[in-house]
Amino acid sequence: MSEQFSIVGKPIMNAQLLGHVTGSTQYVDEISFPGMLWMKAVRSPVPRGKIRRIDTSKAEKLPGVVRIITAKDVPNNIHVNMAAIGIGPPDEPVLPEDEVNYKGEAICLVVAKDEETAAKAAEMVEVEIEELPPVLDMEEALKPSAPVIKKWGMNAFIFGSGMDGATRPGRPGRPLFLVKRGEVEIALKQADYVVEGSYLIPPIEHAPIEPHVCVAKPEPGQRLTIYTTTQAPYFVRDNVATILNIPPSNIRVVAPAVGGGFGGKVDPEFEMQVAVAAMCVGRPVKWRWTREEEFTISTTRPAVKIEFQDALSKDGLILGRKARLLHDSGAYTRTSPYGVIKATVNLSGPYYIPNVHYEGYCVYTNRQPSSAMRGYGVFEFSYAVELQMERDAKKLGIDSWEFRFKNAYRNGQVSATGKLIDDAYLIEVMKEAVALAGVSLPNHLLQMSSWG
Amino acid sequence: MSLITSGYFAPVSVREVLSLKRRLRDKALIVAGGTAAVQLISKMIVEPQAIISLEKVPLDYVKMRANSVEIGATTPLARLIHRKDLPDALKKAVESIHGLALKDMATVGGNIFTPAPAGDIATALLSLDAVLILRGARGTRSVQLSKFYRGPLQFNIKPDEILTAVRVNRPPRMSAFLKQTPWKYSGPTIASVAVGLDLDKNGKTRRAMVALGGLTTHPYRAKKVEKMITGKKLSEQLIEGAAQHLTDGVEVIDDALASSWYRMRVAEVLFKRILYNITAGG
Amino acid sequence: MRIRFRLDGQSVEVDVKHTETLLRVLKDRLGVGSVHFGCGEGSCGACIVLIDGRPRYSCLTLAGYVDGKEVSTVAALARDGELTEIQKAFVENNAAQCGYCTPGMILIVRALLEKNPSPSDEELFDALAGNLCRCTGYVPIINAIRSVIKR
Repeated sequence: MSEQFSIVGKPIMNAQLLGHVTGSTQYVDEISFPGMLWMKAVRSPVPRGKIRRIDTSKAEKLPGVVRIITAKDVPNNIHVNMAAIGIGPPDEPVLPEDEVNYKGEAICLVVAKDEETAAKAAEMVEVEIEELPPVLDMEEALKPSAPVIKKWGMNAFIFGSGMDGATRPGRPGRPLFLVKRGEVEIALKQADYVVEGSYLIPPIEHAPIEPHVCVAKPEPGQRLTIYTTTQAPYFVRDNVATILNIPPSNIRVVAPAVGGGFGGKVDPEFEMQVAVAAMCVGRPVKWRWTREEEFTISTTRPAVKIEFQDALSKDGLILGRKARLLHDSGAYTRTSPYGVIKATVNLSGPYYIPNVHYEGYCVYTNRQPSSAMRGYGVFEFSYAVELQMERDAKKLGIDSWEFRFKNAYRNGQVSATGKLIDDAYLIEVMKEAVALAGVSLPNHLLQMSSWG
Repeated sequence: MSLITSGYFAPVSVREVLSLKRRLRDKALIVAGGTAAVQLISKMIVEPQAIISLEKVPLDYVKMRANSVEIGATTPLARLIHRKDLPDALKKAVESIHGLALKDMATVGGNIFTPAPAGDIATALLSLDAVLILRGARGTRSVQLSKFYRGPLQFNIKPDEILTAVRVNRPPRMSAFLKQTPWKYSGPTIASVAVGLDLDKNGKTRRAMVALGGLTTHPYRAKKVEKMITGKKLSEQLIEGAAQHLTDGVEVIDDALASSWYRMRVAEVLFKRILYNITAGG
Repeated sequence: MRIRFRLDGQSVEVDVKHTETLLRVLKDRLGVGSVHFGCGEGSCGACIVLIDGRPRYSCLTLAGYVDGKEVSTVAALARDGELTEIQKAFVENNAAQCGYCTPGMILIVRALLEKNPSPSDEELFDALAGNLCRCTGYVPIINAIRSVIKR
């Protein structure tokens, strides 16, 4: 069949390979301009606190320091980086005005003639912070006694109120994303077995070998060119335009080869600061993160906690599932509501469960903001779902292959979110997989099909 | 020699190093392989006015004598791989440091000063009862490695001295080194154990040196354990009992790499593995 | 201070600070594109160069060290557009994805094979331990290297 195609079925070389092996591939770090300045951030030493005083006078006197940028210099400071797809409300400052919400949050920026001077001056800026009790644990954050770190009065995103962009504004909404179908309480009562499971996924750093680097170069007429390590140039353009109060068409984003991203370079988490600095000083400005900043400031995969209560019948079917998912967004919203929805609607995995009640919470804590990473939302729930499947099968005393074959989606069934399943192939895929893995299965499983 | 006090100095002899050191005092940072020292600069922990690089000082050598081994302080670890004539503990410690570039840069002398989670060569040398050769303005003196560490980053060395070599006199007949890292090939040390042993005709321990690395800023000798196993046959009961005292009186590091509990358990396992290997004739 | 060294066969003269690393001089002053900053502490290998034929982390090497020496990067390996065997093997085995680690990988393999043309797997893994790749899972890299090892 592949003869009919010019691409499908034929190996093609990665277009960048020749550049990679000869060292001629261009990454952002080698981009520089005459008169370019360097930037470093003064970062919060505490996870939560009120900024009482920022004294830049000593740092400003260091020879080579050009300008120190604070919240006052940002035309439109508060933003949310998924505004492009309607997620809100804006809850993150480019530079904090009166409070810091995670350890390492950039308080102000030092622009200097070289990187070393900027770093030295950053250490000379005196910041007085009144430390406030932080909330670092998701369960704690949801308790009424927890310190509230969000302006809307609770440490959870409110779904259905217009904040998520998908629903009309003005409704009360609720602090969770709900997926409901059938009668899960009845299923739990009628079940032969109820199996509980709780699963924790820690935050995971993408750790690309190339740390974040950005150069912003002002152009005549309120225009700006931004060279950055990004997986999402349009997010960068929209957010920079928003916070600078200029049209997106004034901004050109150049995304050269990226030295690994894995989702960690989706959020425009530092380009805005570089853009503000470049506009303030009217010269190109470069900001290169250290490995330490890469680990402690850049986004991570969210920490996620998933709890299941499965209603099982003696003959090996899942009658119902009640689930609760907590997703640690860190201090700010970023892409998290989207991640929560994606994970919550999928808590059945590729299995048919007629009665479900799934609650997904987007929780805020005083930790570095989390965001996308390879299979955002998917990795988290499939890890929990498949471990729960093993646990269920063990309780039933049957082989977990058998349990998966029995409960796999068949075409014609309806999913938890009401979708008619018409593209199920799990049974066929599992048959191929066992053959490759050298596992032999009983005939009655091998005779199963997604069409019956 | 000029009176310039800042810049990059690459002296060609120990004498020259000493006179530079006398002149520049604490304004200068001594750099051997650079794997630890240069990080201090780039992370802005120190801001030396001058660098004294040991790259041209002829301390890159291994001298084998009838009953001793002497290794120059700036000998890179790469020079020690594939040498069959070194004591086993040292050989294994060198092998346990992975990566061609790192082995080519890191020096034996530098490793003595490098705190946990590095410093595996020092752990091995402790189990061999090594001696450090220090040269100063007033001549040469030797210090037992076991008496070199005075606290975190505090050493038994005078401001006008430099380490020129390590020497192992009368290496023990048996020695071994094991270390645990979070992943195979490279990685920081969670715990390392090195043991040097001499047994008598009846299989009783005549001399025992037990060194532990990765548990504290610098490696140390477990004196109580050494005492417990000296003069006795290495029975299962003795080994199991001694393993309980490896960290007596020691405050073990508890950090993101590993909890102190975990480090202690790992050290115990490594120690027992070494001794059981020896008693099994391995 | 002024240092003189050869960079990929060309004489270079540059003023450096005594505390400046070779990586900073190569990248920020001389615009060398193939040497990459990754960690600054000799863990990732993206900044490896050969100095007088021996591999070194340029982030842990002070610029003063290369005075009078020969520094080689991956950029000078191919002669008149003709790739070396190991570069060809990386291309044929798709042994690079984002490419950020590739120059360091190729240089360390070159240094290894120069000393030991037929390393065992154990020796190969040991040599590569200081070069991290986040994309490939190493399998295509190891396949590429194995294809040029003479056994």
